[in-house]
Amino acid sequence: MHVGAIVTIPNAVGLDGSPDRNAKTSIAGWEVLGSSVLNRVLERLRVFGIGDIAVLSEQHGTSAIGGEAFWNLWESNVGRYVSYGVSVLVLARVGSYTELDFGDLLRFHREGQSLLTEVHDQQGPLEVVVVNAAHLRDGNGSYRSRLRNVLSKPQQYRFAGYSNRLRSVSDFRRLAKDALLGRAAIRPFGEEIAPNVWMGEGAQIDASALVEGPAYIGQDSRIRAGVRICGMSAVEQRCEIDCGTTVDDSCVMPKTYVGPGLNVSGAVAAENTLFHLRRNVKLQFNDRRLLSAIGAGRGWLPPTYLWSQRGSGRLVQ
Amino acid sequence: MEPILNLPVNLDAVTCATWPNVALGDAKEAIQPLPETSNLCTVVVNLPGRVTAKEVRMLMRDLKAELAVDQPCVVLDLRDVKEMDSAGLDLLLRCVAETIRRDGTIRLRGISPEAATVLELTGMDQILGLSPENTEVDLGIALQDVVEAERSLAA
Repeated sequence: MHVGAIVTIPNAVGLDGSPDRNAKTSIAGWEVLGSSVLNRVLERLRVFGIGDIAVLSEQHGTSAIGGEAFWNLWESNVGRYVSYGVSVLVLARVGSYTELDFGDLLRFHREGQSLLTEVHDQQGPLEVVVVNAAHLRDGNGSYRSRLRNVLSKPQQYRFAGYSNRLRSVSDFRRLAKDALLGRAAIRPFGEEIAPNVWMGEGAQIDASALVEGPAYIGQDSRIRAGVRICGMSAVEQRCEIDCGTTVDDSCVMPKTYVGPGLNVSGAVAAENTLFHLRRNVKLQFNDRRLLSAIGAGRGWLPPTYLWSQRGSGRLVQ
Repeated sequence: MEPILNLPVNLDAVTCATWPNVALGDAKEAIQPLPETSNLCTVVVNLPGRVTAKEVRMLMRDLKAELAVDQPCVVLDLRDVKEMDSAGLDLLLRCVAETIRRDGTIRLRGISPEAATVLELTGMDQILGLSPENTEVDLGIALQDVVEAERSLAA
């Protein structure tokens, strides 16, 4: 059985889940413990033997969200799979993160002899469908309309494993926490240097810093003197947390500089943007002393660390 | 108008200075000129939506002029603040210093979620004694140590 997959990246959303056309990337592109949500979905597909994968972005083109340019691209990719003789097509939208057993899903689809299988959990559809390519090949009209015809009579695959709908920044923060707690099958990219503390390659933690597990420090990140990382926080790759700052119950996205003596609490910091989850506010800073993108007028400071990946320091388990 | 520090307030003497969202260069019009009043007058200052480096210099210059009275009573209202950076925090602290130097009182109130986030980020919320339950604060009491230091310097 030749299986192909089309993975769609949705538009970026704001704090409340509504589309945010000013955001640089969709949550699907955000990194969680060293790898983006999208990459983890792709990895999962490959683990189950689905190697033929096309990735499309709903922000493709300058047209409206989900507009003409995106659908033209989608149609041409479906056409390509159909002409290559794919027997089953997996259509997944990374608006949610789902730890599907694709092997079981494909088996269910084949045994059910339905044209289309839709994945559901307790809360409803999970934006993953499996469709027989033969139906798409033989129908009339656009592939989209052929798919729409079949969508009216899907069989449902009931999924009871881990899922997160990633509708908002809070959902993303919850995904990171679940990953650190082992509730989600997300492997941190790095070495476990202490129980429930993972550190990516090239990361540096000053000997005076305090890292309370579970926690993640990403590749090439710098944790400066007197910093405290606690509350199930994740600092992704190439970040710098300057002296004396506390990162508590927060995520720091890649290439983010957090200034000295600050208190990042209950938030997601992404370059010069801070999403405060409890207050439901989004702040953008032009003040490099507080929050900025690495490289935005700040050089990569020389290391003064006393901790190395295999060194010693103050870790609280 | 609520009493401040339980001091008797002459409501006729209460004046209000507001900053609408000002474009650069318009700051002089942002504060309404204050009429001559008795010594016991309260200035309520509604900070504008943006209190960042671009706006602060002009805001501070004009605010200093308005604080140049004996024993000013100042209320800083932050309910409209949507954007604030370290320059904005510097403005707050300089207001405090200026008011205290003239033996006045200064109070913070109406803190917007955005302003509260910046105060929390910089640790100023702890210094000022702010919490979800306590969103108005007398900066003179909160910064008592600073007040004492200022007074001993002045003496």
